[in-house]
Amino acid sequence: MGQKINPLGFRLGITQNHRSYWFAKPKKYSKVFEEDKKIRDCIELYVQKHIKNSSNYGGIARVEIKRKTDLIQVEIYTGFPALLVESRGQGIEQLKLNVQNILSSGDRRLRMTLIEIAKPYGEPNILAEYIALQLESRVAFRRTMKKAIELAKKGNIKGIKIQIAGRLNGAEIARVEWAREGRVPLQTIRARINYCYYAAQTIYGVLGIKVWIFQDEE
Amino acid sequence: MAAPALPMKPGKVGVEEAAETVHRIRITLSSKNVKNLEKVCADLIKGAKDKRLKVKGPVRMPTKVMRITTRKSPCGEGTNTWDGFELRVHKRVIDLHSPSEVVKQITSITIEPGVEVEVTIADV
Repeated sequence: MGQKINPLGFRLGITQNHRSYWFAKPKKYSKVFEEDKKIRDCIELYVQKHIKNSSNYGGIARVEIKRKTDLIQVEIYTGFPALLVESRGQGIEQLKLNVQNILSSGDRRLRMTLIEIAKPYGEPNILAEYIALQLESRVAFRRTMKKAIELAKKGNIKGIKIQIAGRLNGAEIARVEWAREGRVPLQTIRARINYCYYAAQTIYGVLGIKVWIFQDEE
Repeated sequence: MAAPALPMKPGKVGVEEAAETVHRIRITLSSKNVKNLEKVCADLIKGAKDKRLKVKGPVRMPTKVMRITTRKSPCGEGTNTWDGFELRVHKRVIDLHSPSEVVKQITSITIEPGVEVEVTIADV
């Protein structure tokens, strides 16, 4: 049996953009990289503390970070911007402050924008979060998978594959189950495939959820 | 003095803010992405030519390839397959003869993410 390469990494030069887009000389590279990770962690933490509860999920598809010489641009792609902008006007101010506190040298401006995604369930991250939520509330996994595929099909996607691995329905013996709709050509580089891995914490352990969504070719 | 937006290394003599002193200015652009780099180069040169400065065109330095070769496997078992990751750094150098303020103007217009611009000033 072979192993599959991460479809995001496979397509990085073509059909897939880098999520962090900056240049740094080798000496400073590690520091900038660490900073990127801190920004992403900070955003994740904020979402977890403020927004996630048993009926809601974060809804962040991805965070893109672009750096110019003195400007850091953080774009948060979210399917439910209303969740992140709690009180009107205040919105991401708190988030922005949090992130600014983390960035070490304050002589760089930070610009944070929220970008709304038209069809949130066409993004594998949001779909995976939805599935995780269902599984953690002990819904039968096969029903969850089918429902997730229904949700995703509302957007215009050409194919979707969901794989859940672990102690399904609390069984003692772990196994892997997957459901597919349409076609998901992982070998075709020009196919725009979005992928996400998400871990659902249940009382029986961790269920690994992988979602592949085939959007279109080229 | 307002802090410059770009990291500037002063030359041997202190940099004068007087408009007419012409300095030899070297702009070094580095990036991982050739397309963006070439675009910023072209914009810079166009901007400089519009202000009728003497420009020495983009000198393309050799590309530095930083290779990291790792075993694909997390354990030692199996056929010895290797991943070869590369990071290619492209570098272009542009020389201008101009007062420093004009240069600040030009460089502040054309910054794209992913391209690092460094300006060195050496007095003529």
